Amino acid sequence: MNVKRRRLLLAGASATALVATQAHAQAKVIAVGVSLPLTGPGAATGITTQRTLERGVELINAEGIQIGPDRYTLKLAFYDNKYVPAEAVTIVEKLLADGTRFLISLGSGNSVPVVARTTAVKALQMSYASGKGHLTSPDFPLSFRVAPTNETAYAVYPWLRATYKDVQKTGHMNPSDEAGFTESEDRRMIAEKNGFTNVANEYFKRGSTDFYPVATRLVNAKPDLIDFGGTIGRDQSLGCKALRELGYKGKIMLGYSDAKSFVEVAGADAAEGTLLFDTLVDPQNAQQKELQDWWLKKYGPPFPSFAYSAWDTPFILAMGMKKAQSTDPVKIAEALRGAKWDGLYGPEAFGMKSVYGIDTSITRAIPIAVIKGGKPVQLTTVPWPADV
Amino acid sequence: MSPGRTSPTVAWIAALLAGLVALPLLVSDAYILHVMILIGINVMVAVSMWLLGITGLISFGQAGFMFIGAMTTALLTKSAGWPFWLALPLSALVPALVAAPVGRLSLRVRGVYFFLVTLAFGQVVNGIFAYFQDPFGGWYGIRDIPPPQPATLFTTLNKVPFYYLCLALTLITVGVVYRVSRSWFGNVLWSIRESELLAASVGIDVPGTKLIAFVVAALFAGVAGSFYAAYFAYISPLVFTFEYSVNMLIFIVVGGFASIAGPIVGAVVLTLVPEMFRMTGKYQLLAFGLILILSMRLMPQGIAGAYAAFRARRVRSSLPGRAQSPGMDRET
Amino acid sequence: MTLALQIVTSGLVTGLIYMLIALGVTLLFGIMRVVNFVHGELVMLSAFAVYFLGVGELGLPFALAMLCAAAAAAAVGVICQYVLFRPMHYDILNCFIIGIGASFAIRSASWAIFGPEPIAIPAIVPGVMNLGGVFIANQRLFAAGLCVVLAIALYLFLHYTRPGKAMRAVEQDREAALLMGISSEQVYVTAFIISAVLAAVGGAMLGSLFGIDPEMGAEPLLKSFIIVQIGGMGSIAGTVIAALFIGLTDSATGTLFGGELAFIIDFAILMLILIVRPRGLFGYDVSH
Repeated sequence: MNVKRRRLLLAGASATALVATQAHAQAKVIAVGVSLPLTGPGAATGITTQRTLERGVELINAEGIQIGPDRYTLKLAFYDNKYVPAEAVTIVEKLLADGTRFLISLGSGNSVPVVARTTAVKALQMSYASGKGHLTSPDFPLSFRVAPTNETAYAVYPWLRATYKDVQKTGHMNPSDEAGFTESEDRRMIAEKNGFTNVANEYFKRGSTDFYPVATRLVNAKPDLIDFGGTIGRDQSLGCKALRELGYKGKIMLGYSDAKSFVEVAGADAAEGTLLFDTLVDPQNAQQKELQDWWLKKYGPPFPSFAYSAWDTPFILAMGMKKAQSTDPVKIAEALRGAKWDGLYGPEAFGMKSVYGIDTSITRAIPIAVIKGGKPVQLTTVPWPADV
Repeated sequence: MSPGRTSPTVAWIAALLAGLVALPLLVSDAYILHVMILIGINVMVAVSMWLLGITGLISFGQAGFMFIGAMTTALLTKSAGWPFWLALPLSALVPALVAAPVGRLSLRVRGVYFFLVTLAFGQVVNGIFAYFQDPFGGWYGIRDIPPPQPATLFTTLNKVPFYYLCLALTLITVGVVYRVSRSWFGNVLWSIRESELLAASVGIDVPGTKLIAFVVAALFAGVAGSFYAAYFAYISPLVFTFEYSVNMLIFIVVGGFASIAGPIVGAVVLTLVPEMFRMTGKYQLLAFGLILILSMRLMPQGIAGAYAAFRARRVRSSLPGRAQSPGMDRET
Repeated sequence: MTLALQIVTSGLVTGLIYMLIALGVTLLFGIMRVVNFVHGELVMLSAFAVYFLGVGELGLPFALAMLCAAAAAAAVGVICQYVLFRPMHYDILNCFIIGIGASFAIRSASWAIFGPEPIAIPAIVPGVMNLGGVFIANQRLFAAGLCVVLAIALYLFLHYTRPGKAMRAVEQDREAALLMGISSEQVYVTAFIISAVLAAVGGAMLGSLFGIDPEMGAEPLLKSFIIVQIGGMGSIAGTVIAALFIGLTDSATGTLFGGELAFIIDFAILMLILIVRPRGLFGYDVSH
C-alpha cells in the first residue's frame, strides 16, 4: 500500500540526510560540543555562557594551539538542552556520532546523566554544575567541574563565621532537583562544621512564582542567615522579595547571580544587604576588565557576572592540550588533573582530592559582593582554603 | 480506511521490515540508531493513543502511564534487583491495573472534560513521583537504572542490542494495535466514535468497551516507559510531562488519524524534524509550533490522510464505508 | 494564629490575581467552548508591552502603558481568532491543538526577541503593610483591588448591557440566540477582545509582582483551566469562588507541607470535581 511506500521513502530520505549532515573530522580543527539551556529555565546563564565561550575560543584560535608541528583551532558547536535530561542525552549522542570528543555542559541536570557515557567512550567532559560523587569521582577520570558551586561553601562559611559573629542559625532554600539537593546537603554539612545551627531546609519547584508559602515556612524557623544555595535566576529575586515582604530581617546569601537583574526584579529595598558569593561586580584585574569592556561594547549593558565564571574554560582546555602535547582526551585529562595555572581569578587549580578522591574540581579565590544602596558592591575576596 | 491489502502492500511492508532489521548492519553510527530508538518509543506511545482516539477519546494521561511503567521497571531492576525481562511484563501490567479504576471514573465524563481529567491524572502521577523522594526519586529522578540482561550485551558502548529490542517491542505494539483496529472489536471502537447513541442502541456496552481501550492504551504506554527506563537509565518527572503527552497527540494530528499509518508517520516525521533543527537551538520550538499550525490549517487529515486522499482521487473510485474525518472533527 | 491569618490573606490575594486571568478563559470557554492556549501568551506579551512602554525608554505613565498594552492584546486576540480558531470551526480539540502550536511559536519567538534576562515592572504602590504580624505587600493589595474592580465591571457588562446580554444568550443557547437576531460572530469577537483585555491587566499585575519572562504565561493558564473547571464554565461567580478557593488551598498546602505538594493538590481537586460534579460548582448543566 502506498502509504507504506511513502513511509519507506521518508525513512530513506531522512536517513540519507542524517548521514550527509555528519561533519567529517577536520585535520586541524578540534570539535568541542557545548550542551546548555538556551531556552527554558537557566537560559540566561546559557546564553551568557555561549557568548563568553565564543569570545574565548576566538582569542585562542587567533594564536592557535601548537601541538608538535601542528597548529590546532577549536570549533564550538552549541546545542540547546532546554534543561531537560533526555535532551542532554540525545545531544551527547549526536556529538559523539559526529566524532566530537570534548563536551562542555551547563547544569547538573544535564551533566550528570551523560557522564557515564562520555567516560565510557573516553571523551573529556567539563561541567558547570553542582555535583559530588556523581560528577567528580575516581570513576569518572575524564570529568572535570569548571565552576565551584556547592564547593564555594568550603571557602565562604569560614569567612562568615569569622566576619558575622552574631549569626548563629542558618536556613537553606534550594530548588527541588539534582543541583538543589547537592547544594543543600553540602551547605548544611559545612555550616555545621563551622559552628552554625541549621534551623530550616526548604525546597521549592524551580520556576515557581509564588514564594510566600516557602518564605513563610523559612521565616517561622527564625534563622539569622538564609543561604539560597543552588537557587538561580528569577527564583532568587522572588524568594528574596517574599522573605522581605513577610518581615524577615536577617541576612540572605546567594550566588550564581546576575546582580543587576536580581536587584531589578526583587526591588532595591528587598535586595538591600544581600550577600552574593562567587560574584564579581567590578573587574579586579586587567583581564577581567578586558572581558567586561568587550562585552559592553558588543552586547551593551548589563554585563552578567556569570561570564567571569565561564571565561577560563576553553583556555583551560587549550592549556591541557599544550601540556599533554596531544589531542587525545585521556592524555589531556591526565595533564589537567591536579594542574595549577593563572586564570581570570588569579591562581587556580584542579583539586579537592581530599573531598572527592580525585582532583578534578576547580579551586580558586571566591569573590564576595553585597547589595548596597540598590547596587552590587564588591565586598571582599576569600582565598581557597588550603586544606581542601 | 485503507483498501484491502494487496500483494504490493505486503511486499512493501516486507521490504521496510527487512530494511529496519538490516539497518545496524549498514549503519554503524550510534546517533542514527539512537534517533531510530527515539522514533520507536514515540511510535509505541502514539499508536497506543491512536487506539484510544479511534474510540473517540483523547487522553493526555499517556505520559503518566508511561511514567508508571518506567517507574515500575526502575524500582524492580534497580532497587529489587529483578531482571529486566521480568520487570517488562509487570511494567505493562501495573499501568493497566491503575488504568482500570482511573478509567472507570474518568469515563463518566465526556468530551472536553474527559481530556481535562486525563491531563489532571498525568500531572498527579508526576506530582506524586516528584514529591516522594523515597522511593520515587522526587524531582531528582532515578539514575543508574540497570540495563537488560545480559549486561555484557546491553552496554553503554553499543546501541545495537537496544535497537533490536526497541524494534521488537515497537513491531509487537504496532502489530497488536493494528490487528485490534481491524478486528470486530476495532469496528466497535470506530462505531462508538461515530455515534455512541447508535452503538448503544445495537447492544454495544459502550462504557465497558471504552474502558478496555483505555486499559490497553495504558498497557502499551507502560511497555514504552519500561523500555525508556532501561535504555536511558534515567527517569524523572521532568521527562514525562504534559508537554510529552501533547507531543504524542501532535504526532497523531500531523500524521493523520484515519489509519494506523497516521501516528507512525507523525511520530517518524516529528521526531526527525526537531533532530534536524537541533542546531538552531531556540528556534526548534518555534519551528515545531509553526509546523503544527500549518499542518492543522493546510493538512487537517494529516500527512497519511492527505496522501491517501490524493491516491483515492487518482483512483477515482468511491469506496463506501468509513469517511476520512478531517482533523478530529467530533460532535461534543 | 498569625500563621493561619497570613496563609489566608496571602491565599486570597493570590487567588484574586489568578481570577482575573481565569475570567478571560471562562468567557471564551463558556461562549465558544474554545480552550484558548494562546491566552497565556497574551498575558506574557502584555507584560512585556507594559514594561517597554512604561519602564523602558518611552517611560509612559502606567495607566497609559496599560491601555496601549490592552489595545495591542485585543488586536492579537482577534487576529488569533481569525487566523487560528475560526478556520478550525471552533472545534474544541482542533482549537486546542492549533492553540498549543501558536503558544509554542509565540513563546520561542519571545525568547529569541526578548532574551532571557529577567525583568520586572516596578511596584505601583511600593511598601508592605503590617497588620498585627500579618504582612501583605501593598502592590499585591493594589493588584487584588484592580482585579476585583474589573470582575465587577465584567459582571455589570454581562448583565446590564446589550452586548453583554447577547453574550450570555449565545452562551446559553446559540441557535436560540441566532433566532433572536444575535450574530454569534460579533459576540465571539467581543469575547476575544474582553478576554484579551483581562489577560493584559493580569499580565501587568503578574509582571509587577513576579517578574516578566517568556515562560510566565504557562502557569497562570494551567491554573485558570483548573479554576474554570471547578467553578463552572461560563459562570463569573463560579470562577471567582473557585479562584479564591484555589488561592487558599495553594497557600495552605504550600506553607504547611512545602511547595511541591500544592502542585498535586490542585490537580487532585480538579479530578475530584470533574468526577463528582462535572459541570463545576456553578456551571450550566452541559448534557451532550
